[in-house]
Amino acid sequence: MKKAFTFVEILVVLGIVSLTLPSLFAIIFTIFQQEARIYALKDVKQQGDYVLENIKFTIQQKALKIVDEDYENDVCPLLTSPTPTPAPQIHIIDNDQNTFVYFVDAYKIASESSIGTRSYLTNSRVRIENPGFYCYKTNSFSPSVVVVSFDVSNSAADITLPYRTSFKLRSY
Amino acid sequence: MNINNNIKKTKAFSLIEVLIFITILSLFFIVAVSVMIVSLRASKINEHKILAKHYAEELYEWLRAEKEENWGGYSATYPGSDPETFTYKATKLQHEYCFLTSPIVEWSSPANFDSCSYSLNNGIFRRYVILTAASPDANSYINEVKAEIVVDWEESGVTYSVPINSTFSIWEKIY
Repeated sequence: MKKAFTFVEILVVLGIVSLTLPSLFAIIFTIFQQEARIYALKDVKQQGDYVLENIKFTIQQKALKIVDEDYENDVCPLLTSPTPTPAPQIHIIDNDQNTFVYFVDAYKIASESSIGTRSYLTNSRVRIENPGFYCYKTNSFSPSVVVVSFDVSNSAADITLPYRTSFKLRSY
Repeated sequence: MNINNNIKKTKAFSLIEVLIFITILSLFFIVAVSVMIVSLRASKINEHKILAKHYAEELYEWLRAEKEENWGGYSATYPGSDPETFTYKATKLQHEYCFLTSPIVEWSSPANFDSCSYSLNNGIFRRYVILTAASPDANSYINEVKAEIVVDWEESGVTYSVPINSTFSIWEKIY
């Protein structure tokens, strides 16, 4: 006699397997999705923190004054109401008369200076949106206050973190 | 011819065997699923921790900017003290402030942090700061303010919190 599983037995086994496997895979899939989300969030926060620290440190310690595109006139007005309109880039002159600029190029924060080439502070995994730079003085002798704000986002994971800081120039 | 060959012998699992098999299988699944649920919950907590850290740093950055732009130096009880200055805020009777919007726009009115609601980021977090001036008496110049920033949230019955403690001080005295 030939030994074999009956049709009903196979059906029962298939039934059990088809009930358990999908639920198992659904949970595993959710875990992977959650891991990917955490990775994206970590990436956004890491790059945002880095950009904020970098811009803050460089401008605060090195900038002599904030100037216009031709690197000629100081653009920081005496404190007016309403506050100045934020510009998407900021031009700086330091103590050695070197110039540098921060701006957003293809959703990445870029910096360019008169003594170096263009370099990017973020990579293409995240997008920098709504960049805004402005400055003002509380009186004509006081150091300029610089305000920097931008959003870092990862559209695939639907994450956006706002960043904002303001500081006074130290070597004005 | 052997008669025994003709006896049809049905091979089958006994009830006990089936029960043991089902028990082992279900134990395996229960353990697997509970491990997955624990790991899912842990990763959700981690996600919230990263966000909470960001919110705490955001408030720290905002307070530092306020300190740098408008320190003041005199307490709230000092006659003619400007209510917009940092030291005024730090010495006001209830020197605890709740910040429930991101990005931060302005100072909230001072209130005990217990009254701070969990309404930041769709009702997950609350964020507050307790400011303490080093010399809070009415007439002396204040050159140091301690800030205790806390972002906390509740998750499956446990309260998690991300604190940042810092001291803001001013080097140059402005007369």
